[in-house]
Amino acid sequence: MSQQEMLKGNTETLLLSLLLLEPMYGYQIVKEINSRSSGYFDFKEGTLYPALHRMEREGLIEGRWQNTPGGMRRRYYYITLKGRFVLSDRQAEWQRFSRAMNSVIARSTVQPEG
Amino acid sequence: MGDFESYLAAFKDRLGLGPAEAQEIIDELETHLNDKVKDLEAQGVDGQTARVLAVQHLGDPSDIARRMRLVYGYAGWSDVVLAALPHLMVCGLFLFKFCCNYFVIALALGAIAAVTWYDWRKGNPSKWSYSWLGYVIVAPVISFLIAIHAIGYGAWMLLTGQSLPVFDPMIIVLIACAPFAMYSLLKLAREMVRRDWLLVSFAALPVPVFGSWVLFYHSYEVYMGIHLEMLGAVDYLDMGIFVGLAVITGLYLKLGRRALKVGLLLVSAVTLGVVTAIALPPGFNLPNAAMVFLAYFGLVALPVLWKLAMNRPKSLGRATT
Repeated sequence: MSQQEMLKGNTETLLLSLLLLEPMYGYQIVKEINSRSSGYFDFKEGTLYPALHRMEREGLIEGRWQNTPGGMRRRYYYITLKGRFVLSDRQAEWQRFSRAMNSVIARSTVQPEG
Repeated sequence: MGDFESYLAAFKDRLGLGPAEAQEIIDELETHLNDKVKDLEAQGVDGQTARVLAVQHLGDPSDIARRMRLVYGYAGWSDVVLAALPHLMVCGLFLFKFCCNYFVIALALGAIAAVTWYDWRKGNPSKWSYSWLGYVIVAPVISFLIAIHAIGYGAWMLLTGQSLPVFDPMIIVLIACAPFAMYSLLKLAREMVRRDWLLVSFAALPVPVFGSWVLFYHSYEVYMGIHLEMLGAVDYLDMGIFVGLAVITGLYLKLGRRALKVGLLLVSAVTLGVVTAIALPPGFNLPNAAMVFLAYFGLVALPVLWKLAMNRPKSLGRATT
């Protein structure tokens, strides 16, 4: 499975996890994902906004226009109570999944030939 | 910033959403592009290259617009079924010959109003609820029309030196309700216009046919002394109109492109105007049919045409960043 395919299925979890830390605006989210994953997640910037707006319509996050001290107007996204519940479920599921994957992968590591 | 403008204009063209929703998304993307440029410039990239890179990193505007349309523009099948429901319910009134039973009509309108209020109370109405809203605004529209007619008639009697007619108590109640009815209508219209002019036309689809049916059939009974129940036969033409409304509603919600929605509403306004005028009971003359046609033109076609005329000099709003 490619990195893009893995990311596609977990975009919501990633975004909710970030917004749990603090409310963020779109560009800030792109930078945070890039910085926290040390550039591993090559997030297509334009695809972020449809994902954020879909999550907002599902009630997982809430977008609010705010004026920053520098006079900029940005749309900050806040995680909602429903978003917290969903994230909690996803995190638990992810833990179970990664434990199961690790326990299988760890016992069948490919040895380099030669 | 010409490259941003052409990028965002291309995005807006493909987005196909109402102006309020579209502008919010465009403002957000423009803020993103400005942030990106500042970031790149801070890394030593020159301004022109930074703007080109910012647009490249954001990606294909058609792809983002398509994804946004999937979030906002398209309605699910549950939305389509729910939106078609009030039209089919009124069609059922004709099928089971309840169309002249004012108690049943009031009950049906009350149920529609309750469901609409429930969906609108949070200020974020569902896609399907605009077709329900059409039936809710029929009562205030009729109240206003009767009030205007009664006031005009009274003024004419006074001007011509005749004594004021003794009004039907129901008409006095309707006149008293007219200011509140107009206030409610204007408030609703302003809310819909803020979201999208097309929604005014979409919500108004059942108003002329249902309004004319209540007004004309009521006067048919009052002034001609003929009770429609006595006519006996099921009114298949009126039933067909409401089935047609259900189909138009479903198509409107499923169409992705805004231009197709505009075309559908304009064609529907003309077709429904003609068919509703034909469906008027015998004895109603050309002026009545013309009134129905004009009601369709004024309520359904005019808001769309007005919006198209306003959009002619294409301009793109700027984000306040």
